[in-house]
Amino acid sequence: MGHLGELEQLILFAVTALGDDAYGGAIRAHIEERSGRIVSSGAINTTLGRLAERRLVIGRVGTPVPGRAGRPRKYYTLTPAGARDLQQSYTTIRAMAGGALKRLDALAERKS
Amino acid sequence: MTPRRSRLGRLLAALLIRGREAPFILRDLDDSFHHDVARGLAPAEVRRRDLRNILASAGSVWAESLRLSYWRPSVRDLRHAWRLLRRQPALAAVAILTLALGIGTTTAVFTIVNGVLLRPLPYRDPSRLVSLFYGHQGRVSPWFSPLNLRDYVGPSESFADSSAVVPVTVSMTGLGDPERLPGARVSWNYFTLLGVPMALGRALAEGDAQGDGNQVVLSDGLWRRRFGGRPDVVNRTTTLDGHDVTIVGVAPADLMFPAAAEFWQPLIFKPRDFTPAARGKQWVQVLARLKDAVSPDQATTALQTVADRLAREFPESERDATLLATPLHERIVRDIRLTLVTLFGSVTLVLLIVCANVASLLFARGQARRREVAVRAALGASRRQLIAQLLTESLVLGLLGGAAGAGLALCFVRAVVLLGPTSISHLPDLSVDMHVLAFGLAITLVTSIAFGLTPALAVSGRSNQRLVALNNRGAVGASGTRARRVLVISELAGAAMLLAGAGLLIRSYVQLQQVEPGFTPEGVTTFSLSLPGARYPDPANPPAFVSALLSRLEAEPGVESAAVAMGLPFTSDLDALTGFRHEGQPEPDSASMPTASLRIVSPEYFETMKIPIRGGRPFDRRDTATSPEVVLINERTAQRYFPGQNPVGQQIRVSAELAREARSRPKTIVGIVANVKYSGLDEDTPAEIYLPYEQYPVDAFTVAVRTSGDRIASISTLRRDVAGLDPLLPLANIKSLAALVDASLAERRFTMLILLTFAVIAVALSVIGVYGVLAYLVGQRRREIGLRLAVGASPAGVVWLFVREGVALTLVGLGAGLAGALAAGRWISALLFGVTPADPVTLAIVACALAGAAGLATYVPARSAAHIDPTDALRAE
Repeated sequence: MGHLGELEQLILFAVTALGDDAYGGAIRAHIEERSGRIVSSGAINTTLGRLAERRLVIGRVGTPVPGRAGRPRKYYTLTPAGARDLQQSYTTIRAMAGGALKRLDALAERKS
Repeated sequence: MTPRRSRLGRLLAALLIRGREAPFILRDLDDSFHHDVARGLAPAEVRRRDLRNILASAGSVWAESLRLSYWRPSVRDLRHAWRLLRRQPALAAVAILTLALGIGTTTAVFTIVNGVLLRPLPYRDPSRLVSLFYGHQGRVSPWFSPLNLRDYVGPSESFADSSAVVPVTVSMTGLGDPERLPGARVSWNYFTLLGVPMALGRALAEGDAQGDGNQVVLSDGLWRRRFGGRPDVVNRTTTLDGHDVTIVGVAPADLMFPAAAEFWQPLIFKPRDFTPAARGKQWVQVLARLKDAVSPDQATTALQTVADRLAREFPESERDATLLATPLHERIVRDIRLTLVTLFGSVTLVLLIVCANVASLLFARGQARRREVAVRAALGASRRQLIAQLLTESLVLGLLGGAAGAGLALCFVRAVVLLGPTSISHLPDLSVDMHVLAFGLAITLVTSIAFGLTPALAVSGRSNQRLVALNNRGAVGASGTRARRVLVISELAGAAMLLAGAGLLIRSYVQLQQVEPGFTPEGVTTFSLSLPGARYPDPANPPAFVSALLSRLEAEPGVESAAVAMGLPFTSDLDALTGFRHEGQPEPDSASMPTASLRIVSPEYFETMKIPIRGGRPFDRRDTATSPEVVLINERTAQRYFPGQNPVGQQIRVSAELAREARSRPKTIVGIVANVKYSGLDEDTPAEIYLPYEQYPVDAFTVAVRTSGDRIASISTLRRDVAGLDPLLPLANIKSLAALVDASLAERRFTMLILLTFAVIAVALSVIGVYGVLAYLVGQRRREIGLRLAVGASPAGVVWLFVREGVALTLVGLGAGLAGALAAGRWISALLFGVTPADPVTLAIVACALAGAAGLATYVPARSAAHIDPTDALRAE
C-alpha cells in the first residue's frame, strides 16, 4: 500500500469519475471544473506515467482519429490496486477530519 | 472565429517534445487547447495557457528521459569492457597512462598547494591573527621597538590581544651533549593569543612576566628528543645559557611559530627599553588577534592614524613611519606564493592537455565504433543498453587510469617532500589529500565518460541503416577529424607554453650559477658558537677565547686560515643594520641617516673568504682593543655615501651597539672591500660596514675555516678544538659554505625541476596526440592511398601528403603556444634572472625541440602510409 500525493488523489478521482473517457485533457478539464485548480498537462502526464508504473492505473492507446494529425489519445482506467489505495487515502483524510471540522471552521473564521 | 494555436507554440511543441510518449502528449496538448476554446475563454488566455502547457510538458518529458537513463553496471557489460581493453592493449595503455599522468600530477600539485598555501594554521580562529610590520625609511620590517609596541599597539582599538615575540638562540647544557637551540622570548599571553592548549603542564602565566624569566615551555620535538617524552618533566630544571630554568609545560606538536622554535620563555622588558633613546632600537616582533568585526585592512588604517600622531609627537624618529597588519598566514607563505601559483598554472595546463588527449583518443575510438554501435542498435539494443555498455567501458578505463594515477600521486608527493626546499613550511608533513585525489579523478572521469559516450549519442535520432551502411571512406569522420585537429593544436600550444616556462627557468638557473658571489665558498666550513654570559662574564673573555680558538684551528694540518664573523654570507646570521654618520657633521635626523649592514670580523676573515681588498688595508694585528678605532666599508657604501671622494682616512660614527661595553668613538675608514652577495645570488649587494672583532667583541659568531684544496675540515677536528677550550660549548650549524650557497638555489631548482617534468609530460602527450591524429588519418585514407600508389604516385609523394598535415598542425600549435608563452611571460618574470620572458634563444630552442618531436610523430605514420600495399588496401572491405 503506497502513499498517494494530493495531485495523485485528484487525478485518480478524475479517472474514476470519467470512466471510459479518461485521457489527459479530459482529466485536466475535470479537475479544473470541480476544484478550480489549474494543473499543467505536463504535470498530469508525468503523474499518470508514475501511477501507471506503480500499476495503480492502466494506460490504453485509443484508435487514431483522422484529422488530428493521426495522433491517438492515451486512455487510463483505475486498477483494483489503484482503487484500494484511493479508498484508503480518502478514509484516512475522513478519519483525521472527523470531529475536528467544527474547531477548524472556528479557527479559520478568526481574524488572522 | 475559432482561435488557432500560435505558431510559436506548435514549433516549440514539435522541437521539444520527443521520445516514445511524444504522440500522446502532443495529442493531449491539442485536446487541452480545444477544451479551453470550448469553455469560451478569451483567445489570448487560451494561447497563454497552451504555451504554458507545452513548456511544462517539455520539461517533464526531459525530466523523465533523464530518470530513464539511470544506469547500473551489469556483469555482462563489465566483461565486455574488459575484453575490449584486452583486444586493443596499446590504446588502453596509452589512455590509462595519460589518465594516470594527469591525475597523478594534478593530485600531487594540488596536495602541495592545499597543504602549504590553503591549509589553515593550527591555531584558534587563525584568520583573525595578524603580524604587524613597521615601515620606516622605505624599509618594511617585522621589527618594533618595545616603546613603539607600547605606543602603537597598546592604544589600538582594532586588536583583542597582542603579544611580542623575540626569536633567540640559546645553548642547552646539563643533559647529554650541549646543543644550540632556536626559540623565542614571548609575552606571557602568547599561548592564549594563539589559542593553543598545552600538551603538558601549563602555558606561561602573568606571574612569569614579573619574575626572573627563568621559566620555559618546551616544543614537542625538544621534549621527545632531549627528555624522552617523559610526562614528569614539568617542574624539572634544565640549563639554558648557563641559567637554571624551570620547565613549566610542553607545547602541542603543531605549534611552529616562530619557525623551528624549540622553546618559549617569558619576555621581560627592562626599564631602559622604554627610555626615549630606545625608540629607534627595533628588536621585537608583534603578533595580534583582531577583534571580531575588524578586517586586517581596517586595522592597518587604524594603526596608520596612530602612526601619524606619533610622527607629529616624535618627528625625529617616527617621521614617515607606516604600519601594516598582515594576516599571519600570508606572512608564513610569503615568498613562495609566486612559485606555487606558477605550479598551479602549469599543472592546469597539463590537466587540459591530458583531457584533450583522452578526449582525442576516445573520440577516435568512438568514430571507429559507430558501425558496431549502429549494428547493435539495429539488432535491437535499446539506447539505454548502448549507453550502459559504453559507460561501463569508459568507467573501467577511467578507474584503471585513476588507480595508476593515485599511485603516481603518492610517488610524486614523496619525491617533492624529499627534494623540496626546507624553507617551505609544512612541506615535510605532507601526504596525499583524499579530497584532492577525488578532484583529479572526477575531472578526468568526466572527460573520459563525456567522450566515451559519443558513439552512443551519435546513434540516437539517426537512421540506423545509414550508419550500418557506413564505410570508412571518411565522409562521416570529417567532423570528428576536425575536432581532433583542434584538440591536438591546443595540446601543442600548451606544451609549447610549458616548455618555454621551463626553458626560461633553466636559463635563469644557469645564469645564477655563474654569478660571482664575491667570495670563494669552496673549501670553507662554517659553524656557529655562542658564549654564554654566565661563564664568560668579563668583556675580555670572548676575544681571549676567539684568539685561542683561531690559533688552535690554524695549527691543524690542512687548515689554511680560520676567522670569526658575525654576519657571514648565506648563513642565518642576524642581518644587523646600523645607521652611521660622517664625523664632524651634525647628527642628522634618523629618517635621513645613511644605513648599512653591519659585519663584525676578525682580521683573517678576508683571507679566509678570499674577499679582495679594493683600497687601503684590511684589518690586522695592529687593530686591538686599545688601538684607535677602525672600520672597513664595501664598494657599495663608498659609491653611495662617498661619491667622488676617497673614503679612506675619513671618520664615521656608527650608531649600533651590539657588543657589551663596545667602544663608540669615531672610527677611521682604513680600507675598501669588494662587494659580496650576502643573502642570495640574485640579490643586490647592500651597503656594508665591517668592524674589527677585537674592538667589537660579540659573544655569538660564526667561525669560518678554510682548508687547502677542496677538502672540508673534519667535524671531529672542529669539535675537538672547541672542546679543548670549553667542553660545554655546542657547535651549531656545521655546514660547508659551498653547500649553503647551493642551498640558496634550492627553491629555484625545485620550481625548475617540477616545471621541467610537466613540460616533458606535456610534450610527450602532445606527441602522442599528433601521432594519433596522423595514424588515424592514414587509416581512414588507406583505400585512397592504395589507389594513388596503384596509379603511380611516388611513396615520397604519399609521405609528403601526411607530413604536410603534421607540419600544419605543429606550426599552428607552436604559434599559438609561443604567443601564449609571451602573454604569460610577465607572470613568471619575477622568477626569472638574467633573461627576459621573450628571450629569443629560449623560444627558438623550444620551437625546435617541439617541432622536432612533432616531426617524428608525423613521420612515422606518414612512412607507414607509403608502405601500404595497393592490392591489400583496395581489396579490403
